[in-house]
Amino acid sequence: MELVVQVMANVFSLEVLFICLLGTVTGVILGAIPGMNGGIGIAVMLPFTYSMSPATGLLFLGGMYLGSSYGGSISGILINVPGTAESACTAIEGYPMTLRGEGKSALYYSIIASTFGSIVGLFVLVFFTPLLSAVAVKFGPPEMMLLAICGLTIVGSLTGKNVVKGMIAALFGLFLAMVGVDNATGRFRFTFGTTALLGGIDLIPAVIGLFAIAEMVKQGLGQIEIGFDENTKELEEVRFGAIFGNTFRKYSAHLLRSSAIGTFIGVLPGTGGAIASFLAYGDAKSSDKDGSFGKGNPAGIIAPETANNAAVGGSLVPMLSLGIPGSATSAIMFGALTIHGLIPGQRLFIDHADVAYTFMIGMFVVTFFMFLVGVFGIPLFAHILKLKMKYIIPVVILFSLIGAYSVNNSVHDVFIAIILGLLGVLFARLEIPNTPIVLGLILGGIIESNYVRSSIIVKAQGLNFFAYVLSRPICIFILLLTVYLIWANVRALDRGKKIQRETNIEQDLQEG
Amino acid sequence: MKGKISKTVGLLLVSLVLVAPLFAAGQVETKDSTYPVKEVTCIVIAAAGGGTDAMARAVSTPLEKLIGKPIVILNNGSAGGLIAMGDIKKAKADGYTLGVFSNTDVANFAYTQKEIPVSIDDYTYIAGLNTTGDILLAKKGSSIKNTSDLIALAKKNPKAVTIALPSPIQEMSLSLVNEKLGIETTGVVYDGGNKVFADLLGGHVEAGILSAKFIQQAEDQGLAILGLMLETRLESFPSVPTFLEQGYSILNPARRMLVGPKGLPTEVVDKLVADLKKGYEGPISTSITTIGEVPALLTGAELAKFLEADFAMRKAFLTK
Repeated sequence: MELVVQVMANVFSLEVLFICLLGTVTGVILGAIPGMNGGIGIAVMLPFTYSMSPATGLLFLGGMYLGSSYGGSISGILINVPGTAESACTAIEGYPMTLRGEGKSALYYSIIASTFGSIVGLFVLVFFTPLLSAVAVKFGPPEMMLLAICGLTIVGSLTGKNVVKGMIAALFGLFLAMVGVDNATGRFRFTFGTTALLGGIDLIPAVIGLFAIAEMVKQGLGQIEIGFDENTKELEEVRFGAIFGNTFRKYSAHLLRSSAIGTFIGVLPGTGGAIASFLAYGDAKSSDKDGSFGKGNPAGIIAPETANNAAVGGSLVPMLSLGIPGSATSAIMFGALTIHGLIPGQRLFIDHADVAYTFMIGMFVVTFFMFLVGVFGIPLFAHILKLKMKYIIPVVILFSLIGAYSVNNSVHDVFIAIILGLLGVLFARLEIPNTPIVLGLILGGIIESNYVRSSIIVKAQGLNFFAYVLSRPICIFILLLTVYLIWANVRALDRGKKIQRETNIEQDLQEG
Repeated sequence: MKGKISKTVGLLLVSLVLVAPLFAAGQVETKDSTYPVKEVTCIVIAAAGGGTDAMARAVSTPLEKLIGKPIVILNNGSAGGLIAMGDIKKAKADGYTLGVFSNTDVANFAYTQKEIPVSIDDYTYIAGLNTTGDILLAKKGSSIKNTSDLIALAKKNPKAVTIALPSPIQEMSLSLVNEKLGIETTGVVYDGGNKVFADLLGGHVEAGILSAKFIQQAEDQGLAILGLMLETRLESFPSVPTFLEQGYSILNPARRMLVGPKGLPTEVVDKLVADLKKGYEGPISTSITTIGEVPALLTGAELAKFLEADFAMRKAFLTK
């Protein structure tokens, strides 16, 4: 009881509330600026938190983490430049909505979904941490390998009509993941004798190049036929209440499923919000009934945005209970704890219960602030559509270059971003989609390193690789899931083609 | 008229640019007597949030008060720290670019790769900041409770015991374990200590090698720690035995060090060492203890002696 009073007094002190708000607003803005993201922000702001009390510092970083997970969708929806890998799928559906004049609705869907996902993730963090952390450690090398392979199946969902081109993109991404250090041996490969590639291809410069720079170059060259300069319809006026009702009436299944996917993926160490949002998008698309995905279906915004915010709470589960951060961003927060002499893990809840619970309860406050910033900010964000593209392009490119530099304080990443940006333009000409490249880049490293680990373990124990994998129940479950996802994808694709044929026939009839 | 003004302004600017180096030169001359006159950049060869970063910040925050100028930390963990290692080497040896890395890092990069040639002679070693070592620990619920259990199991099934390693750098600890215990085990390389720890909890590997900073977490989770690869027990964890006291000379000491490029002026090194000595009597020791590390300042001849023996041992191992 004493603890409850203390935690409440901590959370609802003016200082903590102000820090929560500051962190959230910073996060939303960083997430929304193409080239910037929460991970960069958290790394930059980390030293400033050292002088704060542990709980306050953590909440500041937590606010940035949560805020940026939402913020990335804003630029994705409005100018087709996802601020983070997490919102790559959101842009696929959100930008077409903007072109139809439904940008505001898309933004409302995004904030509602993000808030819902955050709450579920945090709820799970508060109540199911012991259970989930026990499940998380059951995922060893073979499970992680299969899970990442399972993630690859959603390539089909990320591509329009031409699945082969999507696969080419994914394979290119897998190749990019191999550049740099081979972690198992410590040797370098595919570096072509240049020091710039020794560090491999980081996700952040890749996302900046493929999405932000490529999109801006395309817009600048006028390759895009429908920019919002001339052809976009005026933004329609929508009421938040209407969208709110709509979300829960029509899309509650997506909210729940994506929350579950996001939280669970977040719990697994070494994953993160991006994988969660990709899987949730793939899941949503497999239930596509009318071929409206890829053309601005709100479900394709709701699913990934719910999942990437749910993953925030999820990734804090193993960090707080076992001392194993679930994502790259929570790994930096782990550092923030240790600098105060707090070792995350079970002891944290015994020795520093006030810090642990102040943080957990404070994150709900952060979610509330994120919701407010989102809802009241949307009319402001939408103003960006009134700007001419020629003013947006240089600003986005400038931030992109700064963002790429700040990953490792290194010019190499700037070159990588520029080169991938130009490749992205080339791919767009060839109608090869960019999103599967990012998917391949994220999953490639996980698949390879866990395959190598599994095979070493198998060899040491004198087993057969397949026998080893099939003797593990979780592996079998993931394999079945993979088969189901492929089947669902093929079915959705077929349905899409059928609808296409039918509309063609109708058109022919009408014309004829 | 307008053209004339802009011409005048232009001339003024040009002359300013020409004169500027003179002012700068003036600064350089006074610098040596009163180092530092401006902020000092410290390149950390790891990303923000990890153990090396925490150590650099635990030292730099009290140290900047002592030297009287800010210390700016630049994190670059790219290519396992190799890129940053090259940046420190290339920096001007004026004391305004320093770095933080371990004896294990520099030996590993100097003896195992040629992509960015670095040698142990490329750096000025200012001070050893802490002392730590690896621990060997068994998975959760393992039948291995102590070193003799491990020896017995590994002798029964050569190569069948899997030992997880956070990175290829720990191959050396593994080789020492195999050699000194007279066993054959299989190393499984991970990317980072956190995943090793997770897989020990999940029971996917039989044992693992981790840095001593995981002792607290391992004890919380009830994992059996077989031994520490240092000469003496750690003050902070007196219950963890060393391998040496068990009769196995498995020693792999790691010291994070404050370094600079080769040829750092003696005045700079002396100034930093003097301030570090002051700091280790109070605030720096406290901040290092807070992050769960063991403060141990090693400078001058003692540091040189330690590094000479250490690099020789690592060279013999890594180039064989």
